[in-house]
Amino acid sequence: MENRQSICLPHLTGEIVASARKTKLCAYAVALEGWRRGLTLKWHTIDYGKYSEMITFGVNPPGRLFSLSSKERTHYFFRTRGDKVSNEAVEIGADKDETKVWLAKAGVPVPQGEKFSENAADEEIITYSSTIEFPLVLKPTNGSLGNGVVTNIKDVHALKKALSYVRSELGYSEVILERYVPGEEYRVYVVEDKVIAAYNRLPANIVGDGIHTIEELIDMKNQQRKKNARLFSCLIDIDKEVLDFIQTSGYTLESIPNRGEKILLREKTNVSAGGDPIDVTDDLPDELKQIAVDAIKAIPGLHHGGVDIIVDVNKPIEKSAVVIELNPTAQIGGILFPMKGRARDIPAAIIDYYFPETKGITTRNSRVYFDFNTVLEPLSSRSAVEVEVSPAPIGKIYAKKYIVSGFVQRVSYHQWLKNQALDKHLNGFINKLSDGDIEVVVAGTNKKAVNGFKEVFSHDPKKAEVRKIKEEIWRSPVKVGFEISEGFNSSNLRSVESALKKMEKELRRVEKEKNRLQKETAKIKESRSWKYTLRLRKFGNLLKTLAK
Amino acid sequence: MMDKKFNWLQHLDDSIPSSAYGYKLCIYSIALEGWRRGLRLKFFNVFRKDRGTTKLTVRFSLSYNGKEHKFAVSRGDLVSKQAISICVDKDKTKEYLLKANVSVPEGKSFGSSSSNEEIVEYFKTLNYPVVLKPTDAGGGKGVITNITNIVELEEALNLVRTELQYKDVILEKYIQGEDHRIYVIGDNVIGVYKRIAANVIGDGEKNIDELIDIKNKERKKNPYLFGRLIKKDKEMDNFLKARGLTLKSVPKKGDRVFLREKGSLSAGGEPIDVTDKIPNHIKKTAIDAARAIPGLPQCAVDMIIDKESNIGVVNEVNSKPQISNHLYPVEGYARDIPKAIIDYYFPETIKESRKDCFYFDFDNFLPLLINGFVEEVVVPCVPKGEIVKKKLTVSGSLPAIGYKKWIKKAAHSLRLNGFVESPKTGKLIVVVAGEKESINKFKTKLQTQSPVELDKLNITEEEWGKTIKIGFEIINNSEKGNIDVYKNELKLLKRTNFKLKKSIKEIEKEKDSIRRSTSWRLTKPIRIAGDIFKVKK
Repeated sequence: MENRQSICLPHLTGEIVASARKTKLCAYAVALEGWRRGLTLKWHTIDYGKYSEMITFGVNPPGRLFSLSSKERTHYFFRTRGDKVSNEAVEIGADKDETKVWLAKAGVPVPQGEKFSENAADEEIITYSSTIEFPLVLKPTNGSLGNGVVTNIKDVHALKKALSYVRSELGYSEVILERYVPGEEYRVYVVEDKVIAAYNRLPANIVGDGIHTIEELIDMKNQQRKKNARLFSCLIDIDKEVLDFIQTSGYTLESIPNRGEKILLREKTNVSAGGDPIDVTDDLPDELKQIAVDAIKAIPGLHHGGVDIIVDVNKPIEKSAVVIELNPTAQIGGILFPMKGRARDIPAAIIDYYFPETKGITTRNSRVYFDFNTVLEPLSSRSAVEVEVSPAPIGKIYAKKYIVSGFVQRVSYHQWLKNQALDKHLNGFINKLSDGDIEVVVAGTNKKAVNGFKEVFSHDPKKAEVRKIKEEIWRSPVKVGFEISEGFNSSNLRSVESALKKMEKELRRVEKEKNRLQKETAKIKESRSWKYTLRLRKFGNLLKTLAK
Repeated sequence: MMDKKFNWLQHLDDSIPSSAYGYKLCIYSIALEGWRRGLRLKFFNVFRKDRGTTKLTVRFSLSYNGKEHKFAVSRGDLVSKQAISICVDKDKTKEYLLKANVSVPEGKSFGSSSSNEEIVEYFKTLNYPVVLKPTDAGGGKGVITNITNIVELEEALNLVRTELQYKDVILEKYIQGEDHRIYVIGDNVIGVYKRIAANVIGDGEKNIDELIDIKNKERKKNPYLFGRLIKKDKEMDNFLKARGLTLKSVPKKGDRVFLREKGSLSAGGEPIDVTDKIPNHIKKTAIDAARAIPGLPQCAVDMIIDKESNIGVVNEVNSKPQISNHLYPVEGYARDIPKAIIDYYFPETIKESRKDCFYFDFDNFLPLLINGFVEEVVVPCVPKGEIVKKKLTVSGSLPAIGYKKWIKKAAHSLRLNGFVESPKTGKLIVVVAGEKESINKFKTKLQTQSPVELDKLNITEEEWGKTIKIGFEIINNSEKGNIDVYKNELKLLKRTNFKLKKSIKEIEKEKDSIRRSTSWRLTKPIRIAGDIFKVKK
C-alpha cells in the first residue's frame, strides 16, 4: 500500500493554505515566505499603479498581485514571478518559437523544427516535413495549456489531418512543426544557477492490491487526493476516456488488478485530469539539471522560472533531453504538495533571490499565517486597491488555549480581553461556545505573556465571574490578529442556521436544569423539617437583628 | 424645504456607511472630503501608548501629488507636538493664553507639593464661587464647579486630590455662563455650538412622554447621536417632579421643557449650532486663543460666555476635538469643518470638483484593521471624468445562479462602480456609475453577451439619483434578509439563555443558603430519620 499521508513542507501544510487555490496558492506560498521573514507584505489590485509596468494576466479575483518590502526596497510580484524578471523575458517565454530561437542560440538542445507564419501554405509545411524525421508535433506558437497541440504525427497523411484541425478548425494559423521527442516530461524549477525542484507528472493511475476493483481503487485514490491541498479539486473522473483507455489495456471497472500492478487510466498527464505530480529532484542527473539552468540563462532578464524538458531514457544522457517550453510564471502547487517524493521549498528559493539578506531567517518551524480570504475581501469588492497584512510575529511561537467557564458572556468582557491580548502583542481569538463558555487562544513570541494570560481572565475591572479555567497547549497554526468570533460565519446562511439550532438545543437544556433546580428548592422549602423550624428561624433572625 | 427638520450638509446624505456612525464619524467625514476631491486615501493602524497600556488605533492619511498629511481623528500633522503637549496641560495652556492677553478665569495652579491649606489660603483671596479642577485630566473628570465656601472647598480637595488622586490642581474663579465650543482653523471661526440638556418642545397636544418618543425617533436618524437616546429614568422623574411636572404633563405649544440638569450628550443632551449668534469680539478671542499657542493651526476653543454681559473667557483648548456635533446639530445649521480642514491642508485642491455622487466603503475593511489582520488599507481613488449614473432593470428568464457574478465581472472589467440586486426572481436591478463610454460598453455587453437567451432579455434604463458606494457589490436580498432574521433570533435566544443562567445561579444560592442555615443543619438527623421512615413505607 502506498503511503496515505499527504506530503507537504512542515511549515506549509494543507491547513495553512486552505483558502488559497490554484494560482492563488502559488502567490500565497511565496508571499507567506517573505512575510514570515519579516518583510512587509501588501496585496494589490491591478489598478494599483505599479502593475502597468509589469506583464500580468488573469488577475481577477485578486490574490495574485503582491509586493514585499524590506527597509531598503520593494519588489513586486505576479504569482511566482517577481519584478526582476524583465517584460522581454516574459514575452519570449509566451512565444514558443521565440523561446526556441533564444535557446538554440545559446546551445541549449531543442527539438528540430520550424515556425510557419499565417501566410505559409499547408503545402509549404508538408514539403518541410520531408527534411526532418517523423514522428512530428504540430503546435500553435501562442497556444497555452496544451490547446491545439497534436503529438506523435507518424506520416504525411496524419500531418495533413493535423494541419486542417489546428489551422482551419481551431484557427491557430501560426504554427510550429517539430520532431516529436518521445520520453518523459519533467518540469524543473530554476533560480539563477540552481535547480530547486524537478517533478514529472504521471497520468491518472492506480496501483492494485489484489483485493479491490479498479473502480474501488479509483475511489480510494480520490480520497487520498482530497487530502492534498493542490489536488483536492482535481479528482479522477471516471469518464468515457478512462473507460476506453482501460478497455484497450484489457480491463473493466470490475477488474481486480494484482498487488503492486500499476494501471494507467489516461494518456493526458495534466494534474487537473487526475495526473500525479511526482517529485524527482534527487533523481534528475546533473547533466539534465545543467540543461535547465542553461535554458534559464539563455533568456536575458529571466533569472528564475520553470523549464519543461523531455527526456528520452533510451538515449545516452548527454543526448537524451530537449527543452520544449519555459514558464516565467510557473505554477508550483504540484511540487509543494506532490503525491510522491518530498515537497520542495521553491518559495524560500525565490525570496532568497530577491531578499538575500533574509536568507538566514529560517521559517521551517513557522506556523503563523494570515487569513487569505479575509485579507483579500476589500480588494475583491474593490473597496480597496491595496491592503497591508499585519506584520508576522518573528521567532518561536508559544500558544495556549484557555476554556473559561462562569459568567463570561458579556460582550464588553470579550472586548476587554481582546485589548489585553493586543496590548501584550498576542494573536489569537475568542470563540463563544454554545454552552456559554468561551474558548480563548493566545499566541505570541513572549512566553511569559502567553502563560500569564491565565491570570488576566479574572482581572476584568467590571468583574466577570470566572469559575473555571481549563488550559491546554495550542499546536495548530496561528492566525495573525485577534478576533472575537461568533462561533459561526456570520455571512453564511447555513452557518448561522446551524448556530441557531445549537443555541435552541442549549436553551432547552438550560431550561430543564432550571426547572429541576426549582423543584428541588421548592421541595426543600416544603419539607416538613424546614416548615417546622420556621419559627425557630424567625427567632434566630430576630436575635441577629437585635445583636446589631 | 419645509419638511426637512435638520439643516445638515446635503452632500453627506446617503454617504455615511453604518460603521462610520458614532465616534468614527469624525474620521470618516474628513477622509471623505479629501477623497472626493481626488486625494489618495489610506487607513492604517498605530499602536498608541495610553497610560501604560498599548491601544490599537486606526488613523488615516491623505496625499496629493506626492504631498502627504497624516491625521489622528480631526487633528492633522501640521499641529506641532509642542502644541499638543500644551493643550493637554490646562495650566500651561493658561500660561500661554495669559501671555497673549486672552481672557481666562482668574486663578492659580498648585503642584503635588502644595498643601491643601495653601490652596485654602489662596481661596480666601478670590471672589466666590470658584472651580477646582485637575491640571491634566480630560473629559470633565474631577471638575468641581460652584464652590462657595471653605467647607465645600475642603470636601472638593479631598475628593479630587485624595480620592481621585489628581494631585496637580487648578483653583479658579467660577464664571457664570454657558459652555461653548468654537472651531478655529487658520484665522477663521468655522463653527460654534453649545450643548443644552435633554429637552422637548411642546405642541400643546402631546404629553412629555410622547414628545420624548418623537425626539428619540429623530435622534436615531442622527449619525452621531443615534445610539444615545433620552432615557426615561428615576432621575428624570425627580427632575420633573421638582418642577411640578410628570411624564403625563402636556407642555404648551412652543414651550421648551428641560428634562435633566446634565447637558452631556449621553444623557440626552443636544448640540445646538450658534455660529451666527456669537458676537465678533468673542470669535476674535477664540482666534487669539488658538494663535496664542505655537504650532496650532486648527483646534476647538472651549469658552464660557455670559449671555447678559456678552463676556467670554477661555477655559480650554483642544487640539483633537470631535467635529461631528458641528455636522449634525439638533438645531441651527451644519458647519462644514471637514471642508475647512482639507482646504487648509491642501489649498491646491480648493478648486477641484468634489465627486459628491460617490462615497467609499468602510464596513468592509474597518473590522480587518481593528482585528489586527491588516496594517494598512488604500482606498481606490475617486473616479475621474464626467460621471453618469444609471439604473438598469433586467428581466426575462434569467439564470438562477452565476448571473449576478457575471454582471459583477463585467462591471469590474469596465471599472464601473455600483451594485446588483434581485428583488425577485426573473428580475435584476443593476446600478452602475462611471464614464459615459464605459456605461455604454457595459450596456452592450449586457445585451449581447449575457448568458441568457437574447430574445427573452428585457432591459430598461433610468437615471440614478442617489449616491453610489465605490466598488461593485452583489446584494443578496433574500439570503441577507434571512441571515439578519436568524442573527436577531440568535441574539434573543442568547439573552434568554443568559437570564436563565442567572436565575439558576440565584436558585442555587438560595438552596445553598438554606443548606448552610443553622436550622437546616440542626434538623438533619430528623430528616434522615424521616427518609428512613419514608423508605420503609
